[in-house]
Amino acid sequence: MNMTEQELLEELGRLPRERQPQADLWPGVEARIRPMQARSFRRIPTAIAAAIVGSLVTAFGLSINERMETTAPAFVQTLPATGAGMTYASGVDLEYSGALRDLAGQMQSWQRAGQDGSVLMSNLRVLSEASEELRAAIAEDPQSIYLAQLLASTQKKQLSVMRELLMQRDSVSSYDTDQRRT
Amino acid sequence: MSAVVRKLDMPKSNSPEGADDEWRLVEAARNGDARAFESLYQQQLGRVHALCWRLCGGNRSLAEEMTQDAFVRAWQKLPLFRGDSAFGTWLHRLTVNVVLGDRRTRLRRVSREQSLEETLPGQLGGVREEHGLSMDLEQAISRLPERARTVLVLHDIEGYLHSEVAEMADMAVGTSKAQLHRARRLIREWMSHEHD
Repeated sequence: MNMTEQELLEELGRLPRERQPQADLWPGVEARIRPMQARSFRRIPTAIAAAIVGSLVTAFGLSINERMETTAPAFVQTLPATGAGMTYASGVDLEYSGALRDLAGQMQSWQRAGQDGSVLMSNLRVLSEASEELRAAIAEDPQSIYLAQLLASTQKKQLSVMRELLMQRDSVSSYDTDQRRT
Repeated sequence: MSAVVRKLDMPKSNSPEGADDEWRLVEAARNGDARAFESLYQQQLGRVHALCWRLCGGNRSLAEEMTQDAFVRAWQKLPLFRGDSAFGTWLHRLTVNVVLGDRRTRLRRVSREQSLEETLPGQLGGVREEHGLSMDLEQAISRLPERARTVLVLHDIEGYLHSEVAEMADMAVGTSKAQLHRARRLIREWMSHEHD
């Protein structure tokens, strides 16, 4: 008896939609995706950096050169060499962190005196958090010149905001002094 | 009118919660979580392997190789999955492209234009253990010439339109229809002889 086309289609529709393989295929899949997994982890710092760039440009109009530099700038070459070798990122951090520490010390005394520069302080907090995130990203990808440049720009802006805060402190202090004289 | 219900868009789980769980796994896998991807793998393995097995004409080793290739490709392409369809639907089409792409570039082919006497004993062994009409039907499908089998599997079993089959299999729509007609005729002839 000849099967009709309709009967054939009904039988085809009843075929099982799933079929388990006889072998366990996952180990083979896992072995092949593991190297790709490691590469995608290395991309995470760049994704973080991109998010930071976006927020900083929006918040501060920060001008950052996003081109990937292939050679380290001259100041790195003048830094004393360490046993492990100085990366561009650690050189950047060294240049700015001393200045940042000095200003941070002055600001703390100002804050203890009860002065307020809430907008600038808020900006400073954002920049400080961004620096920490960048340092974490650099820890994962220490050879990244792009991340190091981003850190440099962020720290420059931090210094600038701190100086502005301290100028504000100085102008408030001299105003208070003038007021007491009159 | 075809009695085949288009099954492509039926999600693994019809519940909103199932869809949410699947999306969470997809997001985690996209961020490099291999355990999340393994969960997706376990959910989709049966469907993917069935498709590979039929497209590969019941060749077990080739079907398993294609199944692995499909999941590896899915891992690579996951950043491109936008969630326009269910993950299973996206994976299904990706699997078809993997198998047909491999066929185009493969240096060593197992010819399916062979007579039944030349069929290697191990290839259809799993099918012989089943009972009833479905066993004969699976064997008949595996015996089809490659292009006819491809069109029958994708159109009549998996529910793709001729336009979709033609695009994936790199053939004209008219060719797809002609190959389907040929496939159905051959199967009906074989099945009829089987039960004479």
